[in-house]
Amino acid sequence: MLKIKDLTVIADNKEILKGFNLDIPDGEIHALMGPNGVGKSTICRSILKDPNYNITKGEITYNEVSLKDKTTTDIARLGIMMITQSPIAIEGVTNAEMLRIALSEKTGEHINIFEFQRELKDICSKLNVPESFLHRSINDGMSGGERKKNELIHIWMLKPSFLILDEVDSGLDVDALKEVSNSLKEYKKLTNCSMLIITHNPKLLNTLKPDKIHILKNKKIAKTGGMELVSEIENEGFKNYS
Amino acid sequence: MNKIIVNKDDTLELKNNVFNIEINCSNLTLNISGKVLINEFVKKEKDNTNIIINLANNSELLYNRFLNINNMDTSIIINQDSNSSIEYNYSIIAHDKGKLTMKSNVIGDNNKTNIKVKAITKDLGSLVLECTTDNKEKTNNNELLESLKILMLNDEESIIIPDLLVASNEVEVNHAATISGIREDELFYLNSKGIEVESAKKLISEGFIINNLNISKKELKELEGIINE
Repeated sequence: MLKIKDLTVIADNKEILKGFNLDIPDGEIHALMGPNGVGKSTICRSILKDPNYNITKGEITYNEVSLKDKTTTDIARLGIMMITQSPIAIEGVTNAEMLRIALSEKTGEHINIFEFQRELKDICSKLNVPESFLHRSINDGMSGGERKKNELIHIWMLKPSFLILDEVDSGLDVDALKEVSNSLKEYKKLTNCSMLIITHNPKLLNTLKPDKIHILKNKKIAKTGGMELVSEIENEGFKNYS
Repeated sequence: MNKIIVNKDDTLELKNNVFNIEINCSNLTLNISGKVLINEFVKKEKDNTNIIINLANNSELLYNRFLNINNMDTSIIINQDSNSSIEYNYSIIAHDKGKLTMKSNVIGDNNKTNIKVKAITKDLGSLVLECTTDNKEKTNNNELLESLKILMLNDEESIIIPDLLVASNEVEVNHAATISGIREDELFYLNSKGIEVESAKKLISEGFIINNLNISKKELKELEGIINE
């Protein structure tokens, strides 16, 4: 379970969250909605200890382990992974090399390169992406849709138990959104992972069917409900929450 | 493939072939004709070499140069007349003070000049990187690129001096010059995939210089060996 208790976060000398609380039990999908700039991405980045976000109060625990003194690397190795709306490109670092090092450092052992390559090829085939993706620089020269598929390769290889999807639907056309949503749904079904989804897109939520929807207002959660909240936001916007 | 090791000052005629080269002299002239590929991957203490590259008309040269080096004071002059093409990819790991001076002279028409230098400075390494591209007057249809980038893994001061001397209206010229450290967002991204800070820095910096070279998988293996020696 991920537990966020009484969290206060400052970024760029501005208090973004104050007294924020959220519990996501194992295997549950929670979605966080709210107007732009309300602090949704701040929660995601604070969980992973982005150095630009300063937690001044409160605590985050994952499976009863406090993240307070953990590094970003430690947190990733606990099983938490984030996909952002615009994953960055790193020129010269290939997907295959990055994944090989991530897996080998996680296990502390040399990985079997033949099994590694076979698994990568199977995943490319499953995701309908060319194997050349594996030897391209991470997200370099890729379209929005290709970048998201690239991140899906990372999910399937690194097998996180908790996924943070920060506007993962951004920049995807109808077909690409369908492919990404279906792949995430399949991953959820196979691993029973937990998810925290930030989105404005009901289509993604209709596919992944979150257990709870939260509306963020005034630096904390203002309302929690089910899919009926998505319909409410679609019809009336966030005027009741701004 | 045999390696050409040049131990004394010389002039080499290179034509229509692939050459692995090691330069240990002070002054070397390379006369290029036809299609030529040169790979030079070296780890050494010092490089005080003056290299002159003369491209014959209608010649094409791809030159991949990698130096893992302490001190360097290197000068490279490239001379192009007409209808020639050069892609000069130069990657450097500098462990101490160094200076690289490059000059490209384009005197005729229909030439392509692509100079890409990427350097990492680590330990006590620093670089003064001066590159001048000189497109002479009364020339036509030349394409010139000068890209000079330094990635600092230390706090030493490096300098890039890019010069474009263009005396003709019929020319396409581009240049880029950057000196930076490892970007915080790149580091965070790799850490968030479970990679340690030091491994992430190594991945980013090695990727930075390897990606600059236009080489095959086999050549990459050789290069990685020299980087990690």
